[in-house]
Amino acid sequence: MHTVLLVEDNELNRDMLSRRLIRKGYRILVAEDGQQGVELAIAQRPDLILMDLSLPVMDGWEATRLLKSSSETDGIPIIALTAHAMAGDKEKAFQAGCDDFDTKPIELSRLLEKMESALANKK
Amino acid sequence: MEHVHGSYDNLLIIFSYIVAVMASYTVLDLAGRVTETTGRSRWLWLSFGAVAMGMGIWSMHFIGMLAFSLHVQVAYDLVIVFVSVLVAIIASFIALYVVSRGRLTIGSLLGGGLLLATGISAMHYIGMAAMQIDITYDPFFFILSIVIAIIASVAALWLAFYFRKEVGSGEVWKKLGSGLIMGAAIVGMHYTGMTASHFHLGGKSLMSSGMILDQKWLAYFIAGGTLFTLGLSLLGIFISKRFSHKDSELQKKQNEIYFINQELRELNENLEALVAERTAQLEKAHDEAIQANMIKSQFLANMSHELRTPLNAIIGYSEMLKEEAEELGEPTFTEDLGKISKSGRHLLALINDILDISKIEAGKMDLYFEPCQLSELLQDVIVTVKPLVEANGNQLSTRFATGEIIVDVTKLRQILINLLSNASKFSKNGTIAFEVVSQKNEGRDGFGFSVKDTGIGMSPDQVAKLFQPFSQADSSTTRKYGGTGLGLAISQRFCHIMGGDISVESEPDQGSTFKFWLPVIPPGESSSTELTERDIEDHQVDASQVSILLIDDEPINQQILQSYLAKEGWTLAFAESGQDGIRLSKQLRPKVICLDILMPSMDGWSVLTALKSDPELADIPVVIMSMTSDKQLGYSLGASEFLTKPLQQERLIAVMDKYISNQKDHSVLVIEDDATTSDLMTRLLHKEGYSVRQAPNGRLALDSMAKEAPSLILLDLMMPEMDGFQFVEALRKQEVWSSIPIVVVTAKSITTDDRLKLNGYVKSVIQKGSFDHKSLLTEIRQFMTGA
Repeated sequence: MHTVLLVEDNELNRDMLSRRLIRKGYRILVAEDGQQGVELAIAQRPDLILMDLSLPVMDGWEATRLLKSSSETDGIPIIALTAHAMAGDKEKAFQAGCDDFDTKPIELSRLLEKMESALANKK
Repeated sequence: MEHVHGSYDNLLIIFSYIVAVMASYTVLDLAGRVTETTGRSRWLWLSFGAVAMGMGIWSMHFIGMLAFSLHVQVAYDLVIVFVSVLVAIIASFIALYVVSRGRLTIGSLLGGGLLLATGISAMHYIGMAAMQIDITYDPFFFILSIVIAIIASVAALWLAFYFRKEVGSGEVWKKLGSGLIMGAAIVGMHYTGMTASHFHLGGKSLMSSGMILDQKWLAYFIAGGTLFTLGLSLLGIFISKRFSHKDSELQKKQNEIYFINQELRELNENLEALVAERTAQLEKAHDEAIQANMIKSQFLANMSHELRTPLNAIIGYSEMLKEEAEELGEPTFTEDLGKISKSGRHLLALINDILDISKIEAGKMDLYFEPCQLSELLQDVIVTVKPLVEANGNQLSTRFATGEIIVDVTKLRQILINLLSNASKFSKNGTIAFEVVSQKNEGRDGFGFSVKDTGIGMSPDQVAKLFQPFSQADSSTTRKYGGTGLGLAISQRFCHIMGGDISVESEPDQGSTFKFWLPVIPPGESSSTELTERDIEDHQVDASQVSILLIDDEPINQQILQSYLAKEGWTLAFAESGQDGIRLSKQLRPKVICLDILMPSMDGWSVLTALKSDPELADIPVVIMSMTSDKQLGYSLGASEFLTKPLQQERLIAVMDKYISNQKDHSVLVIEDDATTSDLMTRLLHKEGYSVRQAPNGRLALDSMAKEAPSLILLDLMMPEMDGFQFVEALRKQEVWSSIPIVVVTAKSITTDDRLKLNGYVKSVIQKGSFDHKSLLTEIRQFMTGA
């Protein structure tokens, strides 16, 4: 069973996505902001991180950068999720070190595909 | 010796008077003219007047002599007669000269009058002397004649001057009146002089010698002189009138020209003021428009997030429930939940469309060009639209050319799906022909795409409105067929920004054909060799050394900056457009960015917003250099400083120095036992341009400091060997280190006791749990500046 860290500040989306992923057989950790996400990632070492980008305290880009700059956490694949539609978000996410990118609203089948391929690449 | 008594001819006396008046009038008239002219013509007028007046006085004298008959023949000496004429002319010249001067003082009036009187008197008595007869003079009348001459001359001069000044109505009558007075004076002097004379026949009359003029010749002379005087007077008056008429016309014209000039000047000044005012208004409007656009873009970005977030929940929950319902075998629930999910997706599509069109209109639609195999893309599109086409019982026929195109794949896909789904929507049980051909347009290689349907078609009126945003062919269309009416507007704009164009042919009930063309290589995208050259050029600037990046479209400003900062040893980089500026900012990471506001295509406000919304670039200070002075907008968008053009060298250097040396020479010592945390902080600080050293405990930190003292210390409290408190204690003993600011970053909860130990030595305590890199950096920056 893979452990997925979901970093998402919106309560409804966090609840919805975590329940859907649990139904698909993942173990889910949740964090409400970038800071929590980084701390949880360092402490729990999940197999995969789903990272919202617009987050309070520390945004998703910064959290990604920090995680990818440490040798202990840089192996964890990070998929950026964003409701942002403005151009350049995708590029910025990749620049920060994200492994993949998906836009919200989530299309579950598409996201699952990306998660599986990220997990497969990790091994 | 025989005494001779003469008698007077009255008619000739009157005639002599008329001649005197005529001469006087001419002179009075000419005096004004002489004054108004300068240079050569002035002397001409003076001479002319002098001759006229002199001749007039002389003629009067000899007509007077003619009027006086002595019963004996008297001859005249010709030489003396000429001398008398000359004297009269010279006297008149002097008189005119005096009168024609700008100002008449009492001295010059009396002097002039005296000279004139002397002249007239001299002329009279010289004329008398020319008579070949012995004359004795009565002293009383002789003196009286001189006095009359003086009074008359002064009066005449004064009158002439007076009338020259007093220009107005009745001028002719005044001149005539004074002419009469002056004439009377001359005549008066003459006849008084004659009364003073006593003629004797004797020696002189008998021994006539030299050039002798008898009475008959004298009559001819006088008649000639009189005619000459009269003619000269008439001519003078005529010319004078003509000239004064011409002159007044000239003067009038000159005045007109002057006024017109004046008016033009005023108009010109008004125009300049108006232009300046309009320019200011335009600038303001421009700034306001930019600001409004910024707010709109910001609003859209926010709305996009705000709208999508709840939609995400709606779609996600409904789909999750749908799956659960399916598993539980509840078909009614499944269907209803499917409707919620579908509506959610529809809403999402609408939001996406509105966002797209807004972004295009705000010029914020970025394109991502990449090479793409047409066949792959088209296959993908067909798969996507197939269910839509078949939903209305339509057949899809395709004919595709193959090849590679450099294009924003997402946008091309969006256009094709839009056209195909429209065709499917508006046709029932028809055929949709989808063709792609290789096609040149204005000499450029490209591909032509066409989608032809057999649907309801459109009238010319409907076609005309087709590509306007928010307008469907018919407002009832929205209700019947759905959609935002934005699809075609978006497609058209996508075509345009990718260097192509779209067109439509349609007839009601006959179907529609949409055609668009896109170039193989998009405009602005240079060929690969050029790209390589550009890359090489970019790499010539050593990124690590660049201090200042100037983003300004005017090359002259680059030169100014270069020359102003030449001696400071800073490396400068330049970008001529906003887009280039952002690209170079990412590549070079300058210490400070100088930004112009008024630039074509992407203005400074947009650049500033882009820089500040990029987390990697947001911390680079931006100094705005512009003639616009909307500081509030600048600061609210994140500008650090404003410099108004024209730039002042000293101020420029001071500001640049503030931002460049702020971080360059400052080093931070991170004392932290946890390697991960220490590394994170080091990276963070490195990125800001600080030089960073690490120490895993207080002991090693002191060793490190012995080599080189840092500008600031980040200190953890709980560490092995020598903890934070001990470190502070040790630091206290070294006075040279006492001024180094210390920021404590700790997970330990600080007790009152702890606080006392640290008090006075530690600038700030940051709890690790609430560690926020931005506020940490802000504090560091503050203490650095304070240090």
